[in-house]
Amino acid sequence: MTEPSPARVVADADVLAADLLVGGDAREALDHLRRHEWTTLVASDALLANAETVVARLADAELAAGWRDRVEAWREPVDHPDGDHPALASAYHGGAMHLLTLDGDLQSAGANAAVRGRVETSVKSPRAFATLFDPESLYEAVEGGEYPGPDRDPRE
Amino acid sequence: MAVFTAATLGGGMSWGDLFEAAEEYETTPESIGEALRAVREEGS
Repeated sequence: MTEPSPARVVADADVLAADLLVGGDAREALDHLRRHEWTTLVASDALLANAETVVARLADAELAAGWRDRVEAWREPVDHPDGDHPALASAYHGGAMHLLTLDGDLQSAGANAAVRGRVETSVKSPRAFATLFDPESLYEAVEGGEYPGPDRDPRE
Repeated sequence: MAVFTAATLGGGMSWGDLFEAAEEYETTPESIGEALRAVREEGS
């Protein structure tokens, strides 16, 4: 298991697909990560496979394959047992302290408490993450020193 | 979908390319949620 960090984030497959196909809160949330190289998107192969299948069904296979290539170059891979919930297991094994999901059941207070009992992870909506993300204080906490500003083009 | 993308040149698509290509699809968070539930039920 990886040491937990607030700069390590898992986006469930619904958020990954919404980032590509809808935009809005999901894209705003993930743009925070794309803009900052010192943050990490953690995702297992199973999690990416879920999102790729959703994109292929709602859009087309070519777009889904292009997305998979790009996100694989960005994410940090993590392994977990087959059958585990891909997002929760990615967070648990990958040391992610934030899990973004559109699933209201996962975001519920009860589920959050249950997850936090086993995993140091806060489950939240993309909108909440996008609103609460504070690069200055996060940079100081995880990297140390003065926040230098965005260091990556979020559209590359 | 855009034709002359980085992918056609062998370099892989950028996020900007992908978002532009995805604009032709009208997708909602609700339809994504339904599709993901179906995918995970089929896989379980």
